[in-house]
Amino acid sequence: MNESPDLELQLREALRETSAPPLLRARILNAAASRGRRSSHAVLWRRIVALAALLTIGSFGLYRWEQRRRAEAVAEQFKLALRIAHREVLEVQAKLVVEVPVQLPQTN
Amino acid sequence: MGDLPEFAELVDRYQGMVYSIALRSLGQREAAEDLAQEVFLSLHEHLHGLESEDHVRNWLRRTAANRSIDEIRRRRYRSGPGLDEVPESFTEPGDSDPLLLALLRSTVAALPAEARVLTVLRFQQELEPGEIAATLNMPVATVKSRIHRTLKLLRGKLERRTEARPKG
Repeated sequence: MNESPDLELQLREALRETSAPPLLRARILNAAASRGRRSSHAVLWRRIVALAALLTIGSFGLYRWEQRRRAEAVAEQFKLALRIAHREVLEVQAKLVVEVPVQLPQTN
Repeated sequence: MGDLPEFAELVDRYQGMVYSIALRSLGQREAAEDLAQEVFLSLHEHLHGLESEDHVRNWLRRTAANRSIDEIRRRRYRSGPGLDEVPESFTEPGDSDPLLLALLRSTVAALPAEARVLTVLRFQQELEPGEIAATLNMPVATVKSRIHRTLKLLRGKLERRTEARPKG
């Protein structure tokens, strides 16, 4: 027993593989199946959350696009109004030049 | 997954190996069952990355060994002895082989984490020092010296036990 080969033999005997408890297999397979179900539920929820996020971002983008479109329409209308006003001013100036001749000051 | 057997078949084939590594490393049946379950659940998640049954067996052995070390260390933060403070025995020495085997088991179960798992891999799983080094990610020289130290420690304990036994 005190010699190393004997000790190693005894160690092999003491530590030898034992068979697993009878219920371990069922416990492992149940846990794996349960984890698989939890995993598929988690995937489903992740997809729902992703879809909701996509819809929210899409709606916000659509809202921003509509706001920009309205702002551009208002800006166009404003530019048109400015052009019309400018033309009117030019017409009035032309009439004033025709009806009221400019009198230049006399110089010696 | 190639020609790998189904997960249930792998559990059938290797539950004894994984459970035995955990049992002889942790020294508690419940803890060994919990650890075996966690190892197989981890296998279930990583199975797609394993190519052959040899690969699966080595993966299971490595994972069981390393998780056993982690678990022992986690417990040892509370109450673990070092290699030089291993208690003489948890059992009463006797003449029959079962008692001697129990003495050896309890002495191994009181070794520090790496030495304990290393001893299990060497004398239960019959791995060579090079294979143990690869499994535990440590130098071969360290594996050899720890096996040597462990055998020396066990031999010393058994000699002291023999001397302490009443002669008659």
